[in-house]
Amino acid sequence: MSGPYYKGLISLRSINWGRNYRYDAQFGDGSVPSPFQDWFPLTDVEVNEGTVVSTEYKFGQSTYRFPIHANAMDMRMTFNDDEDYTLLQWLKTWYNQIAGSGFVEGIRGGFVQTLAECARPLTLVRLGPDGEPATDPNTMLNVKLWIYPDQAFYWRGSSMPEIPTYPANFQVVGVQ
Amino acid sequence: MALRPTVNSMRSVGEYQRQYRWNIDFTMAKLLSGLQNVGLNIQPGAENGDLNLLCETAELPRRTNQGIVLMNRGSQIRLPGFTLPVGIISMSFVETVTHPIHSVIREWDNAIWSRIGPDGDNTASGLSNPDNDLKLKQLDMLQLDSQDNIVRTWRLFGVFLEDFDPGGVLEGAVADVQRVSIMFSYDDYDDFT
Repeated sequence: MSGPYYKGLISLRSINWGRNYRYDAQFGDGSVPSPFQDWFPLTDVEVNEGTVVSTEYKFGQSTYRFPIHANAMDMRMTFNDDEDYTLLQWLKTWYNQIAGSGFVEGIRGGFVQTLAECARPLTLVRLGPDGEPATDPNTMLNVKLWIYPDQAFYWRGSSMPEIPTYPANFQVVGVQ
Repeated sequence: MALRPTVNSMRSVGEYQRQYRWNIDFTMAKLLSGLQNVGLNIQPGAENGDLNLLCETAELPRRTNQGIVLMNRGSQIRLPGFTLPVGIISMSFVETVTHPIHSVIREWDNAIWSRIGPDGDNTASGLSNPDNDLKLKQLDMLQLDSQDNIVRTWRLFGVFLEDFDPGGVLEGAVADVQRVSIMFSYDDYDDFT
């Protein structure tokens, strides 16, 4: 069929468009303390759903690209905290358990955990307008991501009327 | 023939809502621990201390939808996003010489961000009570018919003092009462008959 494929308003109205703010998240391993054990206060989340790395191949006067491998997934999230800094303590403990760079009761530095020891499951659900999962719960849109915190994590004090907000990076080491 | 309204059709509508028939139920303010300590009588019917009696004007709450504009190659549609309450309403009060309005403002403000210590010093410690002790659980604004029946309730949830105007300038040439404005912040509201 030849175009036009896009018919302006009619085409736009024929789609049930998604919304960025329809998602839900929970750490399902019971590691997150009260009051965030049931829902995690994510305000922003970005998941690297796939990265394909290509290489160049020069032949004659042209350059060609073709895929050679896929990169590991990572994700970024921003979340809030309560007046007891519950999630600051939770994440700090997680960091120290992984790399032992600081001091946690009973655990000193000088070791690094294995992936199996440090990864925790984050259930991330993309929701439809009715608050239900956007598609079948078993699809890739509703996933359990096994993640561990990666790179630097900062607590930030401020003199502005704000609540604690943490941006943090994670590596995704498994998808269920 | 167009059915343009006539005098008879206007009369047949029934009783029109009067702008001046309303009450505000401040009784839920008892939930606020900071106010309880002042010893103010803010119950309806209490002479001088009745905030409902002294309230002269009250803005009704409203909400707006955060609409989404989707444009694609010169065609544009507007989609409903999420709806947020505006979050602030203004009320104006007439003050009496016992200063119930100014006292409420002072105590509420000081409970939110402590400026004055127990001995009256400007310690400005910035101490605060827990959020739920600073906010009214709900505040009902009632619209009435001509027989004082409640015909609509505007129920604000999570109310606290956000801003105020203490009453302008101390005048030397104006004969008027002092009017105090309070801007209340609220999380959400419902309105029902």
